[in-house]
Amino acid sequence: MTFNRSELLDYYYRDLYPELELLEKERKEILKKLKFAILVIAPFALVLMFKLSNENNLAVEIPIVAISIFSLVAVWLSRDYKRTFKKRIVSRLISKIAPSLRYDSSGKIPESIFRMSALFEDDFSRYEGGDLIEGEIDGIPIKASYLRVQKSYRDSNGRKRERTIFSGIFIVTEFHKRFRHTTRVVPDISEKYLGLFGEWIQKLAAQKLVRMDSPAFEKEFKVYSDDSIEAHYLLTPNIMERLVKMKKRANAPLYISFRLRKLFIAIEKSSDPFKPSLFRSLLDIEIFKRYMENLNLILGIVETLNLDRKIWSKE
Amino acid sequence: MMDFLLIAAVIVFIGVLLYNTLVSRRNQCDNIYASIDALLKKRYNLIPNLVTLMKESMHYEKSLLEKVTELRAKAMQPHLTPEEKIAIADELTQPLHNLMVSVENYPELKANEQIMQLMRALNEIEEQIAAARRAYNQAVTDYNNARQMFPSSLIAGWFSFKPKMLFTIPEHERNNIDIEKLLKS
Repeated sequence: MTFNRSELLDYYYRDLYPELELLEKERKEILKKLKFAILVIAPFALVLMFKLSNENNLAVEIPIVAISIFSLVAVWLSRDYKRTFKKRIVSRLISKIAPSLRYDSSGKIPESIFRMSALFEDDFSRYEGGDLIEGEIDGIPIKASYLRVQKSYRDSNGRKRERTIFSGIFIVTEFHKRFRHTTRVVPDISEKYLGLFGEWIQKLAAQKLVRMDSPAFEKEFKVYSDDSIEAHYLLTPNIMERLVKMKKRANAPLYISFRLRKLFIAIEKSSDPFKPSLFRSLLDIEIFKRYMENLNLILGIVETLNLDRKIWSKE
Repeated sequence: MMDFLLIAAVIVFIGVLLYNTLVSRRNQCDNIYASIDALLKKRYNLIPNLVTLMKESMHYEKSLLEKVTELRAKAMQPHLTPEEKIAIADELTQPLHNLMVSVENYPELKANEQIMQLMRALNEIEEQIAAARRAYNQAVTDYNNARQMFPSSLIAGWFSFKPKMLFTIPEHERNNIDIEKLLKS
């Protein structure tokens, strides 16, 4: 897949800019309404806090409730704006780069595929996502979407809380080699969270830690596999080098698993990669570049990992 | 007296741990070596058919084919030590690689489905051998490090844990052959 940046920038100024200007107007309208919402909510919250200042617990919770109400209003007000942005901008951008790909702003990778990857714990309470991109790139089937997977739990005070298991871009594709076992590549930092991930780490530890022969790769990742030879077969020096480069470019934690004939890649991102900005101008070229970077991470995966390389055994 | 017993118990406990680590690392090397041995057998089983089929067309590669046959015969000798097996396998890697690349010059070979099937099988085995070698070298490095580092070096010395030999990894294995490119050319 050729990803010509200057051509895309031309496309941005020539075809998308007029659309973005219209959306920018809409964004400003939403901002006005939000400012008005602050003017209503803030004094109301302040009065309540003042009145309830004797009851300590309630006074502390009022700002939290006020912020939650404000966030809900912001989401509600920007619903149409977000939808229009994805339909008119993201969708067009994707078909410009790869006309054969299908894009569905509300679609997501199915839960079964997320579970199949065995990259994250599968006991979750909330599974959300969007921006499903589906199709073939250079003859290789690919499916990608944004995912946000959370698990609810009770804290020490018995209050219900939510912990994010994964938030980011999730990609599933095919790998050009045959394999039988499961091999997982996870960021080296995962050890730091041993306490948090408890059960899941234990499950992971049930698999053998495989030491790889690339110091640069070992610095970034840990490899767990049922078969150390197969792990070396999949992670050739070339693939390891490409993964290190990909990690540097994504500048985010990267999780990879080779399982059930598929290759799963999860790139951690705190929010929707194609969310239209609300508090920054849509006409800001830096924002457009960020969308392009995210698209490049997804659509460039076949080229980045050289997935279209054919070997004798798998045609 | 109690203190002395306690210290002795701790020392014995640490000694046992170090001994077990050395044993498990040595076993890891042996396990991977067994897999390499199995893969090498598969490789040697493929060679006679491939050479017979190629001999007809590859007039300019006679010496290469002879070299492959000769090394295969050497590898099939009984009672070879692991070191000898590794050395022969290493020696055979380069001529086999050259053979696979030289197919490029013979369109009639590329059109022969039987040869192509054998080449596919051989290529997969070669990639698996390359991976197994790297896994083996990593396991041997871990084992040798444990053997040489204090305090496990003491245990290794007492129980005569012998050093193990590494495979040499040919430079071309760092870049696998792109079959697509090869077939198109």
